[in-house]
Amino acid sequence: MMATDAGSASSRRLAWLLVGSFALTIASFVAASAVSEYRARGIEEAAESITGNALPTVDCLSRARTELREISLLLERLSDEHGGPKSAAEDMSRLARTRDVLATERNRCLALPNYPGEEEIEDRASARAREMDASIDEVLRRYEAGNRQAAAQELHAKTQTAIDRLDAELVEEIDLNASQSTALGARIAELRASSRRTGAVLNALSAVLAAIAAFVMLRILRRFARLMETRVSDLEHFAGRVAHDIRSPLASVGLALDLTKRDPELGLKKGVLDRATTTLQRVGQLVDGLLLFARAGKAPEEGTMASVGEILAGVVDDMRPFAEKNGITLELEPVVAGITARCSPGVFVSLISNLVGNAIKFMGTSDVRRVTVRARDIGRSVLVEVSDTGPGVPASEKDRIFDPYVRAAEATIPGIGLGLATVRRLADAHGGAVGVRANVDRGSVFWFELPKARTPSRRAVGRDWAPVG
Amino acid sequence: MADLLIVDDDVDTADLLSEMLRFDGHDTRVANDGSEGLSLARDRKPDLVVLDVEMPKVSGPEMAHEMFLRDRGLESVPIILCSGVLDLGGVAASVGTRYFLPKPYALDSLLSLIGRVLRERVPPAPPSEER
Repeated sequence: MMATDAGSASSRRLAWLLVGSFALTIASFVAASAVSEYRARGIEEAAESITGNALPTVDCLSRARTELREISLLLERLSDEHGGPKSAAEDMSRLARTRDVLATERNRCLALPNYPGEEEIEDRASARAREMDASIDEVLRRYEAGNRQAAAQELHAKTQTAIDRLDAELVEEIDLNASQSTALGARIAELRASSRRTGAVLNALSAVLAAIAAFVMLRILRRFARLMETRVSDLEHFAGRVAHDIRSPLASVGLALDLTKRDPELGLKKGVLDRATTTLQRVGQLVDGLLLFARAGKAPEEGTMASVGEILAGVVDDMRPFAEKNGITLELEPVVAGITARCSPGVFVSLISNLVGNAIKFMGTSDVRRVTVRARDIGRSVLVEVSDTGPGVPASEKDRIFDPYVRAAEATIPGIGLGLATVRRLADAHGGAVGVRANVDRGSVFWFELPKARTPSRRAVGRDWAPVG
Repeated sequence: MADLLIVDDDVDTADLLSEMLRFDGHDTRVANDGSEGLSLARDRKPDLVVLDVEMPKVSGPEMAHEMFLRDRGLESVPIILCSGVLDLGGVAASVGTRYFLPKPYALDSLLSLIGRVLRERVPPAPPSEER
């Protein structure tokens, strides 16, 4: 039972490992997607900033500089004394349009979002533009007043300087936007590289986890296949044993009938028919055992209960002659009155009879020959133990001793290996448990526990105790 | 009539068969496991062994193996395997005997087979030759 528990624990570990691997694989895929999405959003924002802000700003500032150069040229031409009146009028008109275009381009730039530090540049550029406009207006006023010399003086002294200073601010703003574009481009490259690295790591992790999950699944499938092979082999072994154990006694019955048919007097004299009857009873017991095992999985009906102390006393009294015939002392330790188990009396008798019968049958040649039965109230359940001084259960057989069709390899005691399997099936069906452990000095302690009457089954309320050993 | 050795762990079957074969005029001896059967066969070589398969201590095939390999003279004793095991033909092939009868059997079938074996007196062959 303990080894079986270890096997179950190992299966549970494998199942959890499989679930964990699947969960981690999925988590890894989700993380890879999330990181990829985060990086893509960063790249998108950077690209949007370049195409929607930096490049349009550079574009409108470049156009503004072009207009600024045009203004400078027109003012130079106006101040040139060799131009005729017609040419001057055209230049004045062009100058007015160019100044409008410059204002439009600057407004377009101002409408775009600013990078850090850009607003200060724009403020300075606006101040320079105002200075420039004031100076141009002064030049035009002097020019229109016919004072060309004074206009040229203003132009060379102030206007050209104002134009150059505005141009310098525009260049500075273009530089700022260009450097922002460069930085954003580098950021895009960095995000793409980082995204590729993270994606590669997470994909590799996913692949490793998927491989682990596949490996675990393979192990589970292999274990399941081995279990199925064992079960099929056990079933085949069981079918063969049942066939043998029924066919063999039937052969003796057939011989008995043949002998009686040939010589009825001899048959009667030697008690041949009586022996045949006994043999048929043995076959009947075997069939009963099979039926009991088949029906042992049935759950108890509501309200059934068995009085533990009374039943144990009855079974021990009934089996004492069998024990004494085998030189064994069969004892029942005092049981606290009033303990009831949630099962029918018949089921309780079957459980305890099987364990006590086994303890007697398998006592072997031990010099100390004693079987002790005890029962304890352990809270929500009743624990019943059958302790013997026999040879004990070999470690190699502890794993499967409660499995159906299993008997000790060197067993010479009649049986088909259903007794302990029936005990476990009965206990399981009643929400209980069974097990075996080594006795303190010699032999074994087989135990079973059942929920007490009128308390929920242990499956529903959980285990609140552990057997010793 | 022949000297027959019956080896069967089912005491009733072995005793009744012995009784029936004595009734038919044969000399019979009974053993209830393979080691006891080997001991009786060594004491006096039988003409035929009627051998069960599943027995405690020494099984039927193990006893046949011992007779064939270790006991001078006993390898020539024919063997009839009688058992309720499922694949008795396969067991007989592994033992090397061509004679086997699944349980339960009609007495006439057994007597007929014993008569045939006593006429043919073919001992078990090594399994490789049999195959």
